Amino acid sequence: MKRFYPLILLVALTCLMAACTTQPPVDPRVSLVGGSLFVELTQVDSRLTPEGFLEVLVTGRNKTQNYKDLEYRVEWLDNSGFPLPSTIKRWVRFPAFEGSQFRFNAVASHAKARDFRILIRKGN
Amino acid sequence: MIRNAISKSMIFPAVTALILAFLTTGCVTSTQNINMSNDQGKAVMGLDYRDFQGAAGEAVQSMIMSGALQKQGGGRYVLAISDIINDTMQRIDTDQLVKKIRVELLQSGKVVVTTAVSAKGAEDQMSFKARKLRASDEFNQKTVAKKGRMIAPDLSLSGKIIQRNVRVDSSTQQVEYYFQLTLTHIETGLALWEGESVIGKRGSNKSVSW
Repeated sequence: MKRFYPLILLVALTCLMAACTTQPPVDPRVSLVGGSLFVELTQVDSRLTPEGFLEVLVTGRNKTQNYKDLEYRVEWLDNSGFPLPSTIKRWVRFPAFEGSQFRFNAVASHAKARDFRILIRKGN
Repeated sequence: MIRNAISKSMIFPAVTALILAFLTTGCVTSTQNINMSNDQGKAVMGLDYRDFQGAAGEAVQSMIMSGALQKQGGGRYVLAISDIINDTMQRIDTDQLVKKIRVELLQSGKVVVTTAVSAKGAEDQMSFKARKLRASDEFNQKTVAKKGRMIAPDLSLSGKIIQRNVRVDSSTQQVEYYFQLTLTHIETGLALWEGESVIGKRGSNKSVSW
């Protein structure tokens, strides 16, 4: 039995380390901010609309059994990575129902938008 | 003795006044600048800048997603601002809403706004006043705006902001604000896009929403 101890220890350590490893972000352009939200992002898609506007669709999951009010804020960037001005840049509230998938989409009002940065946080 | 008595009688009111002054200063709320990009301030029963930003943002997103701004054959639509009626109990300058929409639509590259035509006449009178210089010998007539150069609008933006107060119970009231907007194709009279944003607030009956 004693000769299994190192093996058991190795397995336990591997499990512990695996639990501690942070999962790589789904898309580095979308960040969860403001501490533990207990939500996970599962997919980030973007496309150009037929009119030439950049549109982004973010999908995630509320891992808790509580309803959450979340907010997102999008910053649109031009093809050089510079932020584009906007008079309507704001935190937009969206619902994340308990144990369910959530999604929101946003479209740039600037035809020059080619990239984006999105922050998600707990709503006020 | 007399001098001591006088000085004591003068010191007491002075100390009391000082203490009172400190206390009163302590009660005054200090003025702070609002951090517009991360405003954690509590909601108010009336309409504040966050509500206008939200309503304008929703309208612009909806207009762009609808494809209504795509002019057949390419080019940009010319938009005129029609009546935006304030049907609330508050004194609102509807430009708080319309200006944000105009700026965003202009940046979209799909729409250009005319300031020569609006429901209340020319928004910028200078387009017409400058044309009166045609009669003046003092101006080089080659630099004066020619006849027939102004562009008539293709689209018109009209709307209404409505307020509805609902009594929830003896101590709570609910105020609903409806931002309704319509984009009309002037030539055909058809509405190419319509949108509505609703903002609801629930709070004390003592709060005033006007």
